[in-house]
Amino acid sequence: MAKKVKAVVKLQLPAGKATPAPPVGPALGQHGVPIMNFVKEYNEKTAHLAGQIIPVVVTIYEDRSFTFVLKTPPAADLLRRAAGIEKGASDPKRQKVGRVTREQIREIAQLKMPDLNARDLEAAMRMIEGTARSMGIEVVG
Amino acid sequence: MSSRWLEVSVEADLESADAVAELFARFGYQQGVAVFHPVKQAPDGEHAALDPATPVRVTTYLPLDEHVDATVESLRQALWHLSFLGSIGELQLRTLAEEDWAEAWKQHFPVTRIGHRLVIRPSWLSYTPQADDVVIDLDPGMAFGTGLHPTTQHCLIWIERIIRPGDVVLDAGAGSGILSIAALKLGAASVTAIELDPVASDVLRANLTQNGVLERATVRVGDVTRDLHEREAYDLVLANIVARVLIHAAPRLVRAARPGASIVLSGIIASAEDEVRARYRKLGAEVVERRQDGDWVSLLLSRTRP
Repeated sequence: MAKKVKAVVKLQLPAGKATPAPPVGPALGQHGVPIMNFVKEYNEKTAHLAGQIIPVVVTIYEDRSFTFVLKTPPAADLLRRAAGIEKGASDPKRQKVGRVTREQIREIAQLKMPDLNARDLEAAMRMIEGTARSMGIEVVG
Repeated sequence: MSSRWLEVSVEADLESADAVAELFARFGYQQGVAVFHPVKQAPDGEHAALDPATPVRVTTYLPLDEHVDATVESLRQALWHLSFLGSIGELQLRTLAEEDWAEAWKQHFPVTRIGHRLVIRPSWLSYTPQADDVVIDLDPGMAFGTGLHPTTQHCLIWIERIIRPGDVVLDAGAGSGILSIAALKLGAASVTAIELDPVASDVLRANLTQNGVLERATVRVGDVTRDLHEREAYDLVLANIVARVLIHAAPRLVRAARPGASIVLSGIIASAEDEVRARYRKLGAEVVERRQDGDWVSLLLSRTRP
């Protein structure tokens, strides 16, 4: 049916464990999205990915119906796992909290490729490296 | 769980948005982050593109408790460290109560009267029907067609006026099933509802069941440009889709209408109206009435020759 988009909201949520609490409730409720419907659908589609953060892009239409597309985990999440650290640096310019190899950057870039606005793998790798820098993770090798 | 919250937002350009989101996830409730993207609607009325020139808004939520001030301060500092990445605005704070969203979305879905007799009722609202009312029970969900959109309303107004008892109806691109339900409740003998999206077709079946009309409906998951058979013939053809699909599916939709039958086309963006008209005229279907609301045009046609 004819669809005119009212809003696009990207949410980062724990796979299989979304609740009507923030951020889902306030972020989608303000656009008139039936919150429980969304939570149910999201959890059903991500149950098998539990333990990861799975971003979801929700498109809300003029008549307040909605659709959503699941994305690959955030680069930061993948980098943290690759570097084996809990969290990024609070002062990434001076503080280095971990390191990843170029090969790991390549793997992450390959996984994220469908969601990145990158022309080729090289460009995607540069974007992932940028995220690593912003977290205080060094790229070696 | 707290019922009062602090909403923390910042505007950032597209390049820094991921880094800001990552930072917010570190502090926000259950690592949750929302990123609001500015959208630009394409002129074809079909696609919406993200607008890269306008900054996105990154938001997270903190329970309003004794730690909240300290958390905001750490967030503010961490954000400052990110400012070398790109353009990042000032932190904006706002308190929210759970009541603000828990039930608030329901306000967007009132009981809606369309045409003379049709009433769309969401399940959480009560409504006492008047003598001639035809009530459609419909909860919003993951399928288009809540009755709030002008294209849907145009179709409903025509269905109410032209349907005759015993009509055999085609609903091409059925979405939530709202048009099918209306047709059946207004006296159609049967409806064939075709929907491309499997998720929407589940919602469609649920809505037909909820309204007690499933047994008179045939739900088909398929593509109206391909999956309509040559021998199918209907008294009324409904197609609320988009101009591109209506043009592409024209031969099948016209053939599906018996000579003299009505065809309702909707979801046409105004700039594509002429093309749609020309296509259907060539195939032997003439426009007898049109409706327009904003950019959206709906056409009522009659199949004049076999």
